[in-house]
Amino acid sequence: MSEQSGTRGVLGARVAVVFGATGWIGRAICHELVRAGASIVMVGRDADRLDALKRELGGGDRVLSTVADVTSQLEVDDARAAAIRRFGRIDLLVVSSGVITGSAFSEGIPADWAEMIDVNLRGLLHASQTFAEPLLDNADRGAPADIVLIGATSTDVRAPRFAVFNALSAAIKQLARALRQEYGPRGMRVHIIEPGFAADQSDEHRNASLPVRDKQHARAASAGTPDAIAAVVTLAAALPRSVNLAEVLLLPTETA
Amino acid sequence: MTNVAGSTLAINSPDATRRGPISRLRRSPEALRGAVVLIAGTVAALVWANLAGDSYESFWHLPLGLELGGSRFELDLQHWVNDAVMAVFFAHITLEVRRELELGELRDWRRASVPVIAAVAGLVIPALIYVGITWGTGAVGGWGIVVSTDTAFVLGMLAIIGRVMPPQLRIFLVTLAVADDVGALGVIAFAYTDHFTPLPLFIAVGGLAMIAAMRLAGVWRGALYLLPSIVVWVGFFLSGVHATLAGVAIALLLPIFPTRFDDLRRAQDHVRAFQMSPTASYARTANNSLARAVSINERAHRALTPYVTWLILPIFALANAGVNVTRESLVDAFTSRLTWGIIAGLVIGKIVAISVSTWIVTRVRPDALGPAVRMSHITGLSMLAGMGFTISLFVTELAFDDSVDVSRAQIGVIAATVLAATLGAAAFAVMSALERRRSPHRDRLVRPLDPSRDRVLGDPRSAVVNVVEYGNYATPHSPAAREMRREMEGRFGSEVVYAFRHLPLEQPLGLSAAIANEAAALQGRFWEMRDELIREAPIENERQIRRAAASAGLNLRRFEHDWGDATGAQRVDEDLADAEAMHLHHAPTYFIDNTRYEGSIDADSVNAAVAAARNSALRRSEQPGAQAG
Repeated sequence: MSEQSGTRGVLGARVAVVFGATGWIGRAICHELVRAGASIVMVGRDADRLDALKRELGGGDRVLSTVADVTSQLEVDDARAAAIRRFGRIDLLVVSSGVITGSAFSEGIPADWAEMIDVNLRGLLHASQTFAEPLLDNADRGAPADIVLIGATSTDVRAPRFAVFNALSAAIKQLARALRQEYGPRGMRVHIIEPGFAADQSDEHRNASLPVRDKQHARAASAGTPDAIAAVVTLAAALPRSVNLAEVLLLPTETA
Repeated sequence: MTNVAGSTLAINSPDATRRGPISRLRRSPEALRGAVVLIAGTVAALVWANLAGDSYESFWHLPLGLELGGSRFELDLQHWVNDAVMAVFFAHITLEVRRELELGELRDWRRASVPVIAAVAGLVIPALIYVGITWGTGAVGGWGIVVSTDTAFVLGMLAIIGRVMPPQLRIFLVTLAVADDVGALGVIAFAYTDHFTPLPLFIAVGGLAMIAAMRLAGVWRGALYLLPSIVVWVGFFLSGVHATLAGVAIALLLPIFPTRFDDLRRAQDHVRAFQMSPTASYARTANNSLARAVSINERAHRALTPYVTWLILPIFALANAGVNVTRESLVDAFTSRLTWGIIAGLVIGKIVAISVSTWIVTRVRPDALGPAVRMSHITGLSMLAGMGFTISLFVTELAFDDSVDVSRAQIGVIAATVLAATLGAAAFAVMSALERRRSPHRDRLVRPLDPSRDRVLGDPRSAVVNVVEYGNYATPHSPAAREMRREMEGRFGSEVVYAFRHLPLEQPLGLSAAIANEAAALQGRFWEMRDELIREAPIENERQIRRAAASAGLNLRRFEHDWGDATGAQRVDEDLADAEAMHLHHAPTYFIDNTRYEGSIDADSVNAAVAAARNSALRRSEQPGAQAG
């Protein structure tokens, strides 16, 4: 409730859509956005977890949850329709859905690669393309329009166990640059936030959208704590339209 | 009267429309054979009844009954046939009516209204003519004889003489016949029930309640419904209401539903389990789940059809058509107002009623008959409708006790049936000749395959055979088309070029799906979209179309703009106009080398026809001086 009462925050008039809302990073972003006064549409695969998160956020008129699998173009499009139906427009898209599977490349399982490509890259493409239209509508009216992609950058050179994940993260970064060039002139900002990412040896396969349960892991990704990432999302969205916080690299302080 | 199982099935399947003579004979057996068997029964009865002695009369009046303790139950053979065996026949009709009401032609009132109105007129006007002619005599009560058309005969006749007629005419006829059967059942129930005692009806109600309870409990084994059915029959019999109506009441209660997807999938699972380990117990579950996927109504209808066709109707004819034909009986009949009342009622009455009522409806609603059926077709049909055989003879037995009256009525019914058949056959012969003269080239493709316009698979330059399909996405038959195309590509490769054109018929989303398919073509994904639409078929909501677009990998935003703008509508309209010009009313319709393919629509048959066309094309090209393609 305390979060709700602080309406009219820096994002008071914004409508945000968060993919991967129930994930480790996504949850923090949702909390932060609500705190900043935005209306949010939470998109996730698991209805129960969405409900739980919605309760946690205090529910209210500003929060809509909708179930969609980001790998299904149709479901993403349905989420767009649901969001428009509820709030009339969308001016901030955050894509924080993703999975991480790690192993030495020679041990890698192609089906795991396919899943990562599907969710991390193809899903992000679906979400960006599907929501570009309503976002551009906003930009055309002179209102703010932002796409925030959550990428990753590997800081752990000793354990090169995430070749495919890192390759996809690089692709996402490149995509963000290309989209910025395409959409920037039309008044839409594309941001990419790359938390530094260090693998925890014991953690072979992890779904990034799962809430983190063990301390070990939290330490592993200590630089990109979800709260820090969420704070950057708010900052990026709240800056004046004339500037774009285009690329953010979040590294652990002790990493050089 | 009714025995339309085979023919309705044939109507609903796409291959019923155009076929070669051999497969036509092989594939439309039920209507044709039904009529033939009925005629055989009638002829046998006539011969038997006119043999020396009275073996016919005495045989059909032999008592047959059962005795339990002190009470006995006894009927003569003719009454066993007319009261008990015919209950099965009426149950069969009722199943048909219910199926048409809930799943078939009668569900769509806009379409069904014309034949239903014609059927109502066809009940009333013949009865009025009959009453007018016999007014003042004791025979007036026989008006029920002329109300109903013998569906078995009419469908049989149409199968023989109506080959070049549009398939919609059959649908019109089946609807008319079904509606007319409902009327006849009502006439039998309300006009020909004497000495009614309500108390035993409670027994019948008890039996019906049992059936209803079994239905609610989801009992789907047909045999279990037999016992309560007998209880119902006994109840009806004791009450004085005509006992055959027990069949109607029972059939009304049997569950009917379109095959449910879940059931179908369960059946598939069980069959797969049986394939993996073919044991007796798996065979049983597979069997049961297959049966469960189809409603009792349809299974009962299917199960009863052969009995009705081969046993019940001919036995009924044998027991009821045996009129003693002598010079005296004929003179007597043809000087009696009763006989002429029946002939006039059935022949003139049906013609006037059906033609005039349909004509009036088309004045009010010019498109009421649809594009394919013309007034002349209806007139021909109305002539055939005067064949009122089974129900007419049935009502004769109910209406008259006096043997002279019965004989007059029987002669009248048989004469009217023969006359109506002759008139109808002549009318259809004339129409067929006119039809052939009017459009001798209706089997040619009006717009040849044009690679610059058409959606084409294969290489037009190397192909020796071209195949053009007119199809849509509203029928569950579409999967056949997909399979067919795959096979065509696999088998003929570069030798065949294939084009798809749109033929959305009356389905609500047919046009929309066709335009969606064209919208996908703007993203270079026409065939992918077609495959996905086929996967979704029958298309019943717009979400299916959007899902197909997503599965085809389209940019949904662009797709929805193009779909909404109906960018491809012009092409679809062109296809439709061409189809109209060629009188295409069924999808899919194939043209092989610009000639309409008339065989049955399954992958094997179509591919065989394509293979034949290719072989002859290759042979032609081998001959010097001849041209391929």
